[in-house]
Amino acid sequence: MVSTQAKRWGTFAAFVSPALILYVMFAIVPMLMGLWLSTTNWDGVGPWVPVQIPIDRFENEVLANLNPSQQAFLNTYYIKDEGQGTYRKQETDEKSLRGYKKYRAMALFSKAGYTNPNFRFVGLANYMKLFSSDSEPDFWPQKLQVVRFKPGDPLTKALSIPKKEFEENFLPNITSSYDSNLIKSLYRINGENYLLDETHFPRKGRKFSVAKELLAQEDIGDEWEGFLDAVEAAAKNSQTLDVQAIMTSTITAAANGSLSPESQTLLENGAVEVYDAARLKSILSSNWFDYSNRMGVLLFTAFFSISNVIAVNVLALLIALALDRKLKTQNVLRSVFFIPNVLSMIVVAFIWQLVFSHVFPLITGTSRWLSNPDVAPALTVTVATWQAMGYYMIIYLAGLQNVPQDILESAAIDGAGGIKRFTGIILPMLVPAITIALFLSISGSLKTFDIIFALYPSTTSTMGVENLTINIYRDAFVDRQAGLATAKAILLMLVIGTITGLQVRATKKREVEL
Amino acid sequence: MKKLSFVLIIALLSGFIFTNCKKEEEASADAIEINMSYYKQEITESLPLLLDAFSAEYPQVTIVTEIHPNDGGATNAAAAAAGTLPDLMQQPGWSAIIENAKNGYVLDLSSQPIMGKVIDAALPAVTYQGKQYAVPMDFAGIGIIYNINIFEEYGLEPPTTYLELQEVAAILQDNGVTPFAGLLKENWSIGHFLSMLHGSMLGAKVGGEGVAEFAASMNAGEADWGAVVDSEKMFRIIDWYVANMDEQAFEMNWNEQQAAFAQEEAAMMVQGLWSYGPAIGTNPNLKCGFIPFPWSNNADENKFFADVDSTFTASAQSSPAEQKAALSFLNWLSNPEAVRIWTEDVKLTSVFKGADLSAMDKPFQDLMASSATGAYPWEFQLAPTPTWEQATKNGAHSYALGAATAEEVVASINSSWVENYQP
Repeated sequence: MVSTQAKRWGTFAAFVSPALILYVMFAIVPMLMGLWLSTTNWDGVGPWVPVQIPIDRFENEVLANLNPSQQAFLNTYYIKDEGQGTYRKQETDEKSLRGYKKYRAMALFSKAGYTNPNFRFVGLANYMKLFSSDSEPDFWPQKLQVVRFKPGDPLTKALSIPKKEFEENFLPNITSSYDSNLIKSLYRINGENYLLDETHFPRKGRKFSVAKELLAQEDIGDEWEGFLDAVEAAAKNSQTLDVQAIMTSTITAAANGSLSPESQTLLENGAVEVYDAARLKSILSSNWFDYSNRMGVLLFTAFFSISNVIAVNVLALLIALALDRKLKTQNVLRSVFFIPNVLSMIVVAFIWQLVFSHVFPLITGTSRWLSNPDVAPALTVTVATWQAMGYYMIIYLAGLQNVPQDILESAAIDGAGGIKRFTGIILPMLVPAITIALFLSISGSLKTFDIIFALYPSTTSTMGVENLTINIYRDAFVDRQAGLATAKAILLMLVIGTITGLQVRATKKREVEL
Repeated sequence: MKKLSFVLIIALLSGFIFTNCKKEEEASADAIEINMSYYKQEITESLPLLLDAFSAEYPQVTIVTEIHPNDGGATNAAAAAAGTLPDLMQQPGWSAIIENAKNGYVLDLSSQPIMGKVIDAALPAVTYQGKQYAVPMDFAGIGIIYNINIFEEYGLEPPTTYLELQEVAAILQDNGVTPFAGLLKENWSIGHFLSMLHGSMLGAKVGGEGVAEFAASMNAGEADWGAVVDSEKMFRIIDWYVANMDEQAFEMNWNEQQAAFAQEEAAMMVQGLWSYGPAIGTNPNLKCGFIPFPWSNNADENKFFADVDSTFTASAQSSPAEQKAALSFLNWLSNPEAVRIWTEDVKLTSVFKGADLSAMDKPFQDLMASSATGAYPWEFQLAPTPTWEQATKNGAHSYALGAATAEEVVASINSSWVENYQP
């Protein structure tokens, strides 16, 4: 007869120990490796052991500081290349510094006092960088000034300005009363827009129209550019237009008195036209702006996670309650709500890109959705919620199956209404489902990567929708700062562990058993 | 008896399986499968033609492809760190090659026969410390691809100066035609535009070699990216360019830009010729020309922003047998049939000596003809990867959005270059 003790050891050896070994290999070891990497300057690409070292350094700084057996080890893998003037690491199947040999080589280089520039210990510098002023500007919330009219924009862009824009984001920003009066004299309200009085700009302020006329004059020719640039500079600097002085300083024929009367007239008229347009453009580009808040990586991560967790769980629970009734279309509706969860994230992103780019503009008349940083964060949460909702609906439906019908019926007979039955019976008995749904949605939201990456292939930063996981990816693989990225990843892991731990503890306390 | 029968059946089945496995192993003793990554999404349909032609000559080698678009550099970096680089890699010239060569991730190809067949002008883009680490494949230029039919309809000539370009755009606008097909949903195209203007302005001032010297000064932290050119003018041209795109430009990605141009909704697009193939594929009746972006009013200064674009490298992490197969592919690339497929089907130029480019379409002829008078090198290839990927592309995109000033973009490029340059 097998003793209980032996049975226990047998069970441990057969079932627990393989799981523990796998856990150590694929969870503990990578975690410790991460901790180690987060204290280095590794760029994510550079080799951990040098690929090549100048001959004199290898012989005098490395080998000279090692004992014969250690020298022999390194000499096995590093071959002198006289042509290159270096010792090169071999990369063949037979002789390759892989596995434990790589770590031994690293230890030997370290012992010899040779510092690999690609892989250097930096202590807690990566963690400190996160909270110092050196961290990326888009990591923290920012209030950005967004200009509506840029210095090089054509005047045609400001022929019509929406009333709200004009009265809220343009006119109040003009501090000079002269400029303010000039703008008021140039723009007239017409319905919902302020329209530019085009009689002042018969050629829509197009500089090239004037330039072409000047270029055609033999005594001006290519000198038109210097002349008109000087006129524009005067307008930009709010200087009075002195055509004669600019002509004399930029047009040779004007300086030596041989300018034809026709050219003179064209220069004078052209200067006024270009000056007026440049003056208006200068006022527009300096004063027509709005402010836009960018959450930055940290705040967006929090915003996305909180919104997504709330939206997903509330909507999933409501749908589950609705579909828990005996409806004829119950199964079809359950499938319909679950289907988005079956789709690949890339497909989901593609579908919503089409919707936001082609359907929404038709319905709303607003052309920019995903490319508008003011609404992009909310849209991102919407898409993520739409995709994930069905999965949590299944969890809540499963939880609802465990609510005994007889208790609900008794409560109904006793006169409890729908809301009372929900808050008094269904909700307390759903707490186990809520525990698991919250745990999964919180950890999933904090780790979200694919949907954001697919919706904004290269513009997460400029659109203000970069969460911590995308930021970590960018640091590691684009900015080549694997050490810093690993430090962030470890902090993210700690945050996820802490939040989900607290959440499970809090909801577990509220679980009731029959 | 039952037990005996069962054992016999198992033994017979096992023998059958083992025998067949061995036969298969013997048959495939020489066969080898290698993988290739590529980043040019526009060659997805034509690349298999090249690989099929290679397989016809080397039936024992099978090349399996995988695409690494946009973030090709990042994907390869991750693979390099994991020791799983593809055996063959399509990579851009200059910085990608230097980085891989420096880290020992790609094979030195200097002694391979193929390198003797590459034109001299294409070698600097694949050279590190005097050795060549990649086979340069195509010479590409960024400029304006324009629709000849639309230009003819409105009596327009291809502009040679910025003044003429502004006039062309105004005439198109006045006739309800969008001058430029937009692409602002992604950051790379506007990043190219900024780099093109800067590289061209700088190139006009200091010459092609001067651009490399400028990059060296930036590496040393001794230069100011904005101060070496007329920055104000540069950013004004960006403003003008963005203002002449579709209203929906910020919602348009590369596919949508191609569609708008191919469907003749826009008369021009600022792109490399890699975009010509997909456009003509969508609308075979399209008649296109290719001109340098005329940023200057001195026509002589307006040259293509052109350099070696794609190259092929072989991984140093592959096994000797895989390396041998990869090298056989690289050495086969100058074969006339390979050059024909590359130029006619893949629709990219070739940098092999004596390559016959006469069958190429007009835009390619325009590029090669114009480049004979000189071109401005791709400055962005000389910048550290994060400076190009983040500071330049994101900076240009933020500027186009109106969320960053010209001064902020320049400051970001300056600081990123110094921080990220690694000797």
